[in-house]
Formats: sequence, structure tokens, C-alpha cells
Amino acid sequence: MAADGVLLEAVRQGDNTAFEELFTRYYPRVYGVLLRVVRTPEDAEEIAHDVFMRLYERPLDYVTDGALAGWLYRTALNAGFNALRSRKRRSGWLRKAAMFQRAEPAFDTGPAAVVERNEEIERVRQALTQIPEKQRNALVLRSHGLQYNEIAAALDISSSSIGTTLARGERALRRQLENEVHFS
Amino acid sequence: MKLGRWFNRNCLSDGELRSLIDNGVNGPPGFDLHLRSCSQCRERMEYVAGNQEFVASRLELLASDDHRPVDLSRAQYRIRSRIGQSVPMSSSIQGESFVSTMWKFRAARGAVAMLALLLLTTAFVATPMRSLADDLFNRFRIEKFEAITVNMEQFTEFGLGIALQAMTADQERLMTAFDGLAEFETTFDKEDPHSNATELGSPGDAQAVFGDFRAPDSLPAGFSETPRILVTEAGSATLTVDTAAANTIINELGLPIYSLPEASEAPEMVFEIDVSQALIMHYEAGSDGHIAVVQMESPTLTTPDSLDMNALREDILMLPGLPTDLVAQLRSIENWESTLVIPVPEGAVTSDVSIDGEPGLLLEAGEFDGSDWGIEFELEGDASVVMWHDDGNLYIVAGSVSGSDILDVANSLN
Repeated sequence: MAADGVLLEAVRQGDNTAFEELFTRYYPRVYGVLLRVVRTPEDAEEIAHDVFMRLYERPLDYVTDGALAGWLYRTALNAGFNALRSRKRRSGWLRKAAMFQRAEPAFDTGPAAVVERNEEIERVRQALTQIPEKQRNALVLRSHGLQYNEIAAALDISSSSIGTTLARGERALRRQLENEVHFS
Repeated sequence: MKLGRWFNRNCLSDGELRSLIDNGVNGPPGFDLHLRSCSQCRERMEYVAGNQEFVASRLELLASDDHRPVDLSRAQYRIRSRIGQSVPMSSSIQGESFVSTMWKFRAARGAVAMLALLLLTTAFVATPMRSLADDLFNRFRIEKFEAITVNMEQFTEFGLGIALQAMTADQERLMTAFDGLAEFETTFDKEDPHSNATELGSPGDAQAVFGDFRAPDSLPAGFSETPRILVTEAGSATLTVDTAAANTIINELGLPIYSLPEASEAPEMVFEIDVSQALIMHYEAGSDGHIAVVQMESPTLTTPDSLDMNALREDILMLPGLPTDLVAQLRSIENWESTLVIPVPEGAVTSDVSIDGEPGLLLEAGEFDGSDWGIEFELEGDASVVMWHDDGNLYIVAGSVSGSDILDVANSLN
């Protein structure tokens, strides 16, 4: 299997086959992480494709082991959270509407439970957008099962700092979720 | 914690404690013993572990309920089409419509508006119409029609590229710029377009109001030979573009368009289209058969002096991600100074035809599904339209008949 750096050099020379090999290697991982950030598989797919197009148009100059995966994760997460932030402004009234819906008597607990769960998911996603970028990305990548060295590559920090970043991120996210003013 | 470590070098930091939780080991030598004796470390460990459990339970909610495996072959197919490799495009891709996909993001609404503007501009710019006799190089007239086929799948990819740029742009700045981008004014009644038309009682009345006109000598079987005749008023429409807002949008979206003037040089760019009176003859066959014959002087488009339309055309044709076959079609247009480009969906039949010796364009749409274009419109059965230019006038004949029938009507005009 060719190294990422070799394939990237080929991409710079116009080799689309090399690009496709990189795409095949990393697309499922990037798509999987994005599924945690954005609301639908369609959104995750679109953003993942755009991330790879950015790589295609401007291949990284030099990569060490894990650096490309790190760049892809970082770029994808930032694009995904940017999409979330922009959607938050738009969907304020929708969230309020959901609140009214929840306040009505629930004769059928099934749909109400779904609404409540979706609302909680939305709260978590929006809370993530409120904490520092590195902490947020570390939490998502860790919950997706990445090891410390992989997270370090994505955040461009040392592996020994990951514990601290996670601890701070968890503290910040918990505060955000416990202290936030609902639907303000 | 730092204070604790200062007092006892065996204490671990929150970060180190957090790593111990994930790595499931006992920590550095002697730490177990230290933990039993150090209440500070025990408290910190419980605090860090409590946060970890709380957050893990919340982030677990984000794991998608959609457990379908990644459709890698579909993803590869799409990425190949985006990087311009030749792949067989087929309708098997289950994509959403361009508009509905773009509408998912607030900022993308702006991008759609920009894209629509770009498309219109492309039509204008790829329509570098011949300058009039008065040598005003910023006044153009339509003298010819040409169809370009737009592959919506590829065009969607182009649009999403801009949408992604829009998502990473400064949202408030971008939306403010869109809000102040342009003002549209027209002498026509936008609410009720029909109010611009006056029905006339006879061909004599039409000649008195409109002047000389052409009428068909023959119609397909079943059509009444006496048409309804309407004359629309002349009018104009003006689009005033705020140059600063346009430049802001271009910068925020990272579009390589350099041909717009600076706002200090030209605060506004005014585009004006002047439309003359038009005569419409409407023939019917029962309740479902329609043929309309429209004739008018060729409309005039005036573009701002401050804008180099040739340079803008080049900028647009060079936009990264614009489908290569679309660019090729636009570049292949001869006499672009006098050609109005008409985008048509894949599947529509277009033909270059000759009407009384003048080149024309025939469009035939046996069936049309507007959902591919993000619009709710479906067409079943025959429908065709032919358009051409002759001696300063535009002629359009359209109806619910076949292409050959519509050509017969067009060729019988005198």
C-alpha cells in the first residue's frame, strides 16, 4: 500500500487514480465522524465530498504518518460545526416550536420520546459549538473511537496533551449543558 | 490541582488522570498507593471520571441511528464526476434536487441567489451581443438563440462547492451583503403581468396599434383560424447592483472574479433591458390545443460602462468547478455577441432549424419533469417552441403540438 505522501505527490502531478486511492482509504472515516456532527447522512456526505475536493484542489505539501488523516478529520469537523452554527441561527423558531410541542399533553409517549431525544441531541451539538475548537474536536474524535495518537495528529498537538484537552473539554461541555438557558 | 502537585510530586494532573481512565492502567509506579492516601487525588479522579461519564453518555446520542454501511461505490462515483473524470452519468444516482439540497443551509440561500445571478450573468456574458449602430459597446441586442444542455448532477456539485464556501464565510457579513446586493425596478406590473396586455378586436385594430405584423397562413387541423390578438405594452426593467456588496460576496465566497470595478470607481452597476411592444396571436383547438405566435422588436440590454463584459465572461468561464462540458458549450458559441443562451435540461430535444432562410432554435419537450430543476412543474404530451430573429424582430411560435407542426406554422408566417 502506497504511503499517503507518495499518493499526494502523485495527485499534485495530476494523477486522479492516486487521488481515488486516498479517497477510498479515508472517505469512510471522514464520513463516519461527520455523521456525529451533522443531522443527516446527506449532509455528512456532502461535506465529506467537499473536504476531499479541497484536498484535490490543494494537495498538502508534506505529510508525516497520520498527518493526512488528521488534516481530513480537522477540516471535516470544522466544516461540519460551521454548518451547525449557521443552522442554529436559522432554526431558532423551529426549536421554539419543538418546545411548544413538548409542552402539550402527550397521550402517546412514543413520538414525545422521539422529540425529546432529538431535542437532546440538538442541545449536545449546539453545546459543542460553544466550547473551544480543539476540545470539541477531541471529544468527537474520542467518542468516535480514535486513539490518542490519531487525535493528536488531527489536532496538531502532542499525544501527551490529549488527556488534558479531553479533561478540559469534558468539563466545559458539562458546564455548557448544565448551565445553558434553554431556547433563549 | 497545580497547588496539589506543588505540595506532592506524586499527584497527577487532571490530564494525566483522564488518560488513566481511557488507557485502563494503574498509572505510574506507586500511584495506587498514593491514591489511597491522597484525598485530593481521589477527589480529582472522581471529578474527572464523573465529567467523562457524563459527556460520554451525551456524545453517545450523536452516534447515528443510520447503521447502513457506507456506500463507497456511490461516493467514488460522485467524486469522480467532481474531479472531471469521464464516468457514465446515469439517473441511478439518488441525489436530491439542486435547490432542496442547497436550501439545507441558511448561508446556502445566499449562494443560490449568487448562483442564479451568475447563471443570468453567464447568459448575458455568453451573450456578448453585437453592438448597435450607435457604437455603444455596452448596448446589446438578441439576434440569435442557442441552447446549452445543463447536467443538473454536475451543476449541483458546482453549486455545493459554493455552498461550502458560504458555510465557512463570515455569515453576518455575507448575508448583509446579499441583503443590499441589488434593487430591481420595472415598468411592468409584477403582480399582474396580464394587466400589461390589451386585447384587440380584429387584425385591422392590431395593425393600427402595432404596425405591420406577420400571421400564419396555415395551422394544424382542428385549430380555429381566428385568433385572439393581444398587444403588450413596451417597458423596461432595471437591476441596480451595489458594487461594494457584490465585491464583498465575491471575496467571502472566494470566487476568482476580478473584473468587477471597485466601489470607489463605480458605486453602482446598472443593467437595463428595454422591451418593445409585443403582438401575440393565440389560436385554440378545443380546450387543450394552443398555439401562440409572438413577435416583437429585439429587446435591448444596456450594461454599465464600468463593467468590462468580456473580462467578466472570462472570469465566469474560468470559475473552478464549473462543469467542463458546460464551459465547452459556452465557448463553442460563435457570434456570442448576438446570441441568447437558453439553458435546457438533459433530455430535451433541441435542433437548429431554418425559418424562411433565417437560423432558428427548436425545442421539443415530449415530457418534462421540473423536479430535476427544483421546480414543481410537469409536462406530458407534445410541446414545442421555435424562435428566430429576422430583420430586427424576434419571433416565437409555441404550442401544444409536435415540432414539425410548429415549424409548419412558423414557415407559413407572412
